[in-house]
Amino acid sequence: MHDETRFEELKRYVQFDDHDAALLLRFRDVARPEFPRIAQVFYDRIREHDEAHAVFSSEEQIHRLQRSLVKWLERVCGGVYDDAYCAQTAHIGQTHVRVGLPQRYMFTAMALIRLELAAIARRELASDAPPTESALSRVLDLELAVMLQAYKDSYVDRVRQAERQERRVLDSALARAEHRYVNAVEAARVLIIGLDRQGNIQLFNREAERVSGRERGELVGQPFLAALCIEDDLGRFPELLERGLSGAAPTQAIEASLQARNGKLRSIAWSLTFGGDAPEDDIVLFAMGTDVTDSRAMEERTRQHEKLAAIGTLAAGLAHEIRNPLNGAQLHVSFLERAIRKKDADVEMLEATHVVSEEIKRLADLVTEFLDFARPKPLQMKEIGLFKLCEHVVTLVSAQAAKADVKLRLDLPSSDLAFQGDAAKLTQVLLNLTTNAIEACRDNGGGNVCLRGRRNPRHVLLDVEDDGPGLAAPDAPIFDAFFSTKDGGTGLGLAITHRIVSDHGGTIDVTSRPAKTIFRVLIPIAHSENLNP
Amino acid sequence: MYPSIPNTESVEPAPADRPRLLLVEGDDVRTSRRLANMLRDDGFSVEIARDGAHAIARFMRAPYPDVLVSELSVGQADLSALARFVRAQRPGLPIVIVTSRPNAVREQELGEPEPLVFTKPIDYFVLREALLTAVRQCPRSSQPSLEAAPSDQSMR
Repeated sequence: MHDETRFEELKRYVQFDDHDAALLLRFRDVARPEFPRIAQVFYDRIREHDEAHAVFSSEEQIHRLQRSLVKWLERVCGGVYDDAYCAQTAHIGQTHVRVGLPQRYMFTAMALIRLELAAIARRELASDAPPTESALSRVLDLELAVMLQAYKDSYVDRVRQAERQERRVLDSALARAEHRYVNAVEAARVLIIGLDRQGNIQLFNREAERVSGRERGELVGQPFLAALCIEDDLGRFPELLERGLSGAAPTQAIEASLQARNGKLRSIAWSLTFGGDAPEDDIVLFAMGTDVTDSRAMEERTRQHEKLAAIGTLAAGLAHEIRNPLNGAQLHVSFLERAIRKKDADVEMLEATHVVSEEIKRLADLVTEFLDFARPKPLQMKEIGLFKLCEHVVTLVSAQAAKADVKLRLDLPSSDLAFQGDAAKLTQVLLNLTTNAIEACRDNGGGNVCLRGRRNPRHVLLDVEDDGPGLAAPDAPIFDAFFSTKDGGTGLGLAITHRIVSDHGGTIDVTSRPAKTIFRVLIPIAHSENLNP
Repeated sequence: MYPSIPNTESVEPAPADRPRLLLVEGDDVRTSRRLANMLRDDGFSVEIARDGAHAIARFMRAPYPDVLVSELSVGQADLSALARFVRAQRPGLPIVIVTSRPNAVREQELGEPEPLVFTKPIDYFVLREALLTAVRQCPRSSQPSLEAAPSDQSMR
């Protein structure tokens, strides 16, 4: 069965048939002489209306259009009303749309033509005039319907185009917003970790990757606390996390450690923010953290320096007060000793004075050592050769090592390195560390001590490693003054060591377990250069 | 109470060949006197000045001390004033400083040759050897550089 075209459907609607076509064909012969006049009237009427006239650009164009109108009248009364006819009409409608002729002028113009043609029919056709007028009315309605379709199509096109444009603008805005948010999240120097309702990681930004040394790919879907080994001193984090996941009010900041891939703990100041309950997003909680490891270390160093400064002031005054009476005691003991020697030398009395004298000296040495720690002399910064420094230290302690049955090894890089430092002070640092290492091994029945020098990009690395029993308590404040686990130790050796290293702008760290203890000193190279490049 | 330690030789004229020391007392007079007596026992001629002003006065008459030993505290202005005076009048005269604050002493401008600084508590025997060495290295000058003051070996 033949599918009815839209034009056929329209013809059926206005009941336009072959009879109408025949009437119009007959009418064309009668009306044709009038077509140029109608075209003239038609365009004269348009000239009277600004908006309609605005679509014309010249008189020549109007003349051309008048000729086109004549042809159109010929076609309208041409007797053939097929799909090609419809297509031509549609094309005319599209042209009107393209030149910007307002839609309302379609109706008025069509009314003008209708009246002109009807008048001719009435005047020329007598009894056939009424059916011809009806046919004219139907065909002109068809023309109007098809041409108006162009306006509708154009409108729909414009709407769709506007919608597409709007969508493009929206998509672009959305993409920009997403790009900005993603960039903000990724570029932020803050750890941003998004968690789902079960506390599993769903978002892991670049800073989180940097601090943890872990990649997001390996962590997404993993439980937040367990995957990053997050722990706080009071064990409150799990409870706060639970509250955060349930949408409770924002929690106060909490500091907790995070274990990086290299095993080191980083101190992170966390805050937990509920991210809403949007069904389309898995993330319900944002854990945002700031890495405060370095600032905490800096604060600790500052505290240590302040403490040392206060101790130094106190020590200087105290040393004076102690040394004076010690001097009196020492001198009088020397006097007694000499007097005893003069009087046939009672051995026990001589020994007694000797003991007192030695104890006074020990006390005096302690005062001097404490002053060195609390009121150090300014550094004498000069260029130091790594090889010479380490070899000198090994020479100084080699006898002590041999006596303790400790094998001493020097591990140096292939080329020497020059750096800025106080040679005497750094010698003291390495002497303290190697002596401690030797003593630790000695107490263990012997062992191995290695003094290692290396170059890092910006630092000289000095390791003192031993295979002794290790520190009894690795977390003990071994660098604090007067902390000592050695019998007879003053507890100042490592404190002085720490101070000298800090004064050089360096750091000292220790890792210890049975059979492996490493004290690691890092000293900035500053403006040094390779001695033997 | 400890018995006071007599300044046994301060009033006796010193034999001409003995090294002459001028000891400027510090706050601990008893210990200073003990030091003076021990040095005398060991062959030095020791005079005691109770402060810098007296020591300066002593340097204005012959026979001049061979060595100046000071126990003055660093905080006292006398030490640097005394050192300047002695350096001006007796260039090259050894100065020995016994102090509980050696670093503070070294920060002071005390002229050349650099004073020998002994940190309290001193080892008496080390000090004695240092004084003998200083005397040997710096021969006695026989001529006064200033008009001689009336003879009074004790400044106390």
